[in-house]
This record gives sequence, structure tokens and C-alpha cells, in this order.
Amino acid sequence: MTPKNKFKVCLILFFYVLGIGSIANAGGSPWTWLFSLKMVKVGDQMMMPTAVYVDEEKERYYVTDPIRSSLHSFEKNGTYLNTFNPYNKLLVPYDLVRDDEGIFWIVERGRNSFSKIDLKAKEIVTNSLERDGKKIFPDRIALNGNNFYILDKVSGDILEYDHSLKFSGSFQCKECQNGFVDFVIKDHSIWALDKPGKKVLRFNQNRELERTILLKGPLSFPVALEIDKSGLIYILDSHQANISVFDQSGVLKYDFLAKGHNLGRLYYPKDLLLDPWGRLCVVDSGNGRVEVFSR
Amino acid sequence: MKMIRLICYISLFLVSSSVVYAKAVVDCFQCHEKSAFQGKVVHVPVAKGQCISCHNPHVARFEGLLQKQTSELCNMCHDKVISQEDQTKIHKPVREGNCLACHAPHASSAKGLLSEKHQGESCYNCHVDLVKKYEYPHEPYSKGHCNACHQPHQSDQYQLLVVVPEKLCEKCHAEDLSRSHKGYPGKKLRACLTCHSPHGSNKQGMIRDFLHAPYEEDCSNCHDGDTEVGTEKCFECHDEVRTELYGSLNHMIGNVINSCVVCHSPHASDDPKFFRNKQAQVCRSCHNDTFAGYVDKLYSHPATESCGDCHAVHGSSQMAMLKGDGIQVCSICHKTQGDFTHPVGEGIYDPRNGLQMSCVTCHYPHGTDYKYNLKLSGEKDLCVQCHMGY
Repeated sequence: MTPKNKFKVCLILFFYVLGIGSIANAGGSPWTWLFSLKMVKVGDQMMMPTAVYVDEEKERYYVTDPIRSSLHSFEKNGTYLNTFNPYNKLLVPYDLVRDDEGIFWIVERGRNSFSKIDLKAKEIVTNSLERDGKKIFPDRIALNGNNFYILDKVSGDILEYDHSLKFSGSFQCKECQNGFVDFVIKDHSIWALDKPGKKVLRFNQNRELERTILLKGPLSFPVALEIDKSGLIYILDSHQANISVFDQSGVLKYDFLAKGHNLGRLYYPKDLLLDPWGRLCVVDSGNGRVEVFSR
Repeated sequence: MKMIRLICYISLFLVSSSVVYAKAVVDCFQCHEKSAFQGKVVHVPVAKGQCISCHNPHVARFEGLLQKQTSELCNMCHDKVISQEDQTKIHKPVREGNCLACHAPHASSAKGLLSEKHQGESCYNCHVDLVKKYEYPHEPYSKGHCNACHQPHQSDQYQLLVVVPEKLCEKCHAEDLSRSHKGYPGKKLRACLTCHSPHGSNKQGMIRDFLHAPYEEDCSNCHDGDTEVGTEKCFECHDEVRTELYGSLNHMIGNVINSCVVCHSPHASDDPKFFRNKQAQVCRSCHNDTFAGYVDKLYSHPATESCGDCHAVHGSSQMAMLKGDGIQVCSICHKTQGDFTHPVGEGIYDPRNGLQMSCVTCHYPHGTDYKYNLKLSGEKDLCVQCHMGY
């Protein structure tokens, strides 16, 4: 190989490496695309996935697929494992958690139920939840200790239920235009996102509002949030198809990702999760996959 | 000595050129008929003969020998007309920098240099659908006093209102309210526009055209004392909506007891579907960013005013809450496209994400800067996303 050709090859390699690296870490982001949770067979893709859940003990990811009324499971390294619809009874699954006994609790939009799915006992129980005698519409869910935290889509409040599904209290924002659109439980606090108000509210476990953080950044249609160990706030914007990262004062530190269909790009993303291994998982609804980033 | 002479020459040159300059200002009216620049209200630079503050007397890049684009020129002095905070609640001509849509640049017979004699006439030049005769018109509307309720440039309120509707109504109607509304003023006034049309109506009390049957019949059909009426109450008659709202994406909207009344009026409306306003306006009240995203695009979909043509407005499990997949929805109107388009549908997959290709794989229906509402240039950039070998 002539020195001229060697130079050309080096140049091509340089730009190739630069290109792969820049999939995610443009604009000062430390995040790099790791892999996608997606189906192996072409034409068998997930359809509009809405949530990802991690079973830390089993080291598995579970993704909800509302159009195919299924759940998809993946290994920790992203390898596809299985697609299942327990006893063909699942109807438009939207979000899920798994308790210590291995029981799945799933928001089934198709029947407005917070359903209990016990695979060992081969049992599915649908639950229509109520608050003060009025039916609620479960949206996002989380499990903390023995309590379920359920975002009610109509009131926009986060409701607390014990394991027997008895309502025990709520986290509210009366001045928020549409209530909350997402929440996470971190450091014994509940962090909730107010979409139109573009702010994050932090509540303690006594349901008292401790702090309101106004997000000072160009957000358009924020749909999900996450908080990392250092306290940085990650906001997923569905219409801008990016993630903005704010500090605890609401100052924008950096943003990353962009709209598109290629690898590492997002199209109407829906949910965000920091998994137990420090990876950032983005449920990319419009591209039928979950993008996983590490730093 | 030579230096003194040089200074004298320079001074003489400067003085003589300023005389010529001043004369040039006056000279504009030698050719341009001065009476055409006179009126009850004259723009300050015109009154002072400072034509060149806006125009270049010799050559310019902009029509009318303007020094800059109209909006930039106006903003040089009128920079406080709009704040930059929320660009979405700005009157369209202001956002487009088209100041002359409402204002005359030189002189006018109306206050604020409005181009029409009466304010209403200026507004109706664009808002042609508002020119209606009502049996019971609202007085400010019939007199063309649009600014009694609306801001002309920018507002933080829906429909560019001066303040929230209830405060606005209360300003003039506090006395009528205590006569016609039980419990007022003890009970807080709310949602006046759900029953009343702000411009006028053919029903007494400016009540909107269509009355919701249970409301017309008896309030107790829905209300039980002071208890708030929940979403489930609406499902008792409108059960088909429940199925739509049980989609993966839906418009169960938060911080209310009843999500239905966020978009629909439970009592009266000018729309047979009981929308609180025109459908696009209702959608815009939450989806401002969607509208702002395509309003200034070079190519936009012609029928984007009626969101319900493509979107299942209550809910669906399709992307962007569409009525069907990206082929079904487009082919409602574009029936023949399937005969000659790029292959789409069953068995045709997008190599970028493995999903079935549809119209919305390449087109962004609301609008883009590319011909045919393509997501990227159809010359090359869009095609090579998948056809990399070319």
C-alpha cells in the first residue's frame, strides 16, 4: 500500500470512528449508543412500544407492545428472548412493574385495568381502580416497597395504593394545567413532571412538596423524566426527539439525540429509564425499539 | 499653513454636503405628492420629513427603496411591541413581520396608524369569517372595537385575549351576572364561553347555537347538587368514545374531574360536536408547538385546519393518535397514490428501523421545507437514507 493510500484509509477510518461516536454524544453529551432492544426478524418489529422495565435480579428487560398486545423480553446484553401475551388475555399493555414475588402488574389500557399477572399460578386478575368512589385511568406506575404509585391520567395526580390496592393518598399539583405526565421515585422522593408548566416537582414520602424546579431550556413536548445518581434531571421531549439534561437549579447542562429513523435517532419517543447498570434506556415508540446508551 | 488650508477645505466640504443632504430630505416631496402623506395621524418620521430613516433615496434591496425588511425597520423604533418569551401566542401578521397588514406606514385617519378607518375593518380584512350579522350581537363586536377584548400583537391568553375570559366578561357584565346567574357573585364565575358566544348569536343572551340535549332538558340529567360530573357520566350516553379513549394514546387529559369538557362544552356550542371553539383552535390550546412547527414551512398540508380528518381525536393506538396506520389515513384522500408510489405496505420494510413502510416514512404530513412535504430533499438526501449504494 502506497503512503498516499495508507493516508486515505486512515482518513476514512478516522471519519468512521468519529461518525459512530457522534451518534449520541454530540453537544457535550457523555452518552454513547450501546445497543437497541429490538426484534431479530425483519417485519416482526415491536409496534409503538410504550414502556421498558428492568428485572434486576433476573437481569432482563421487559418492553410493552400495546398494538400487538404483548410483552417482549431481552437479556441484559440486549439479546432478544421472547414475546408473550399471557394466556392471550393481555389487552393494550401500557406500563408494567414486577414485585418481589415475580408477579407482573400491568396497566392495560384496553380495559382500563391495573392487572395482576401471576405466571406461576397461571392467573390473571383485572382491577378497576377507584379513588373516592370515582374510577381512575392508570397511566405510569412504580413500585416502592409494598406500595404502588400510579399516575391517574384524568386528574394528573400520582396516587398511592397498598399491595391490596387500597387507596392511601395522593401527590398533587393544583396549579399545573394538566397535572403530571410522568414521575420517578429516587432517593426516597417522588419527582414529577409537569408538561405544560415545564417544571419538576419533588415530594417527600409524606406527600409534601419540597421543591419546584423550573426547567430553563427549549422544551417542546416533554413526556418523561429520570434522575441520575448525581441528581441530574433527564427530560425526554417527544416532539423534539431529544433528551435535555438539567441540574438541580433547572439550568440546561446539555442536550443530545435528534429526530430520525437511523440508529441512535428517535421518532416520537415515549419513555425513559436509567437501568440498574447505569445505562439510559429510551423507549423509541415511532421506530419500534428501545435505544440503550452508556457512558 | 498647508494644514490650516486642508482643515478649511474639509470643513467646507462637510458643511456643503450637509446642506445638500438636508435639501434632499425636502426634495422628496417635489416628486412625491405631499398630500398623499397627510392624514389625521401622521407617522413621526414622515411628519419630521425624515423619509431616509426608512427609505434609501438612491438604491435599496427591498421594495419601496426600504433600507431593511419592513418588520426589521419597524422594530428599530417599535421594539417593545412583542416579547420573545412565547412566540406561539403572537398575532400571525406580527409573527410574519407583516406590520403593513394592519398599519399604514405614512399616514392614516385612524389611531395607531391603522390602515382602515375603523379598527374592525382592519381585522375583518383577514378574519372574513367573522363578518356575520347576529340578531343579538355583542356591542364591542358590532362597533368593531375588537381591542376591547383582544390584544392586536401578542398576549399570554388564548385567542389573544386581554385577560382570562371570565375577568374580561366581569369587567362590563357584573351587574347582569347577579341578575341572571344564581349564586353570583358568591360563586366564582367560570367558563362563560361554554354557553355564550363572544361575538353574537341569534339566541337571546348570546347563547351559542347548539344546546346539549340533557342540558336543554334538565340540569339534573348530569348534575347531582354541587358534585362535579366525572368522565364516566359522559360515557353513559357516549359509550363509543370510551373504546377510543382506551387506546394506547388518548386524550384523557389531566387535572380535571372530567376530561371530556377540556375540549367539549357540556352545555352549548356553535359546533354540532360541541367543541369549545373551532377544532384547530381547541387542539392548538395544548398543541401549540405542533402548529408552530409547520405554520411557517414552505410546503404544508392544505387541510390542516381540521385535525380530526387524520387524527382520532379521542384516542388510538396508532402513531401520533392517527385514525389508522400511515397508509390507511393518507389514502382516505390520496386514493390513487398506491398505483405509482414508492412501494409501501405489507412486506416492504424500512431498513433503518425494520418497520413497515408507509406514506409517513418519507412524508411529514403537517409540513416541511421540502416539496411534497418530504422529510428531506427528494433530490437525493431522503433517498440515500436507505438506498446508500446510489
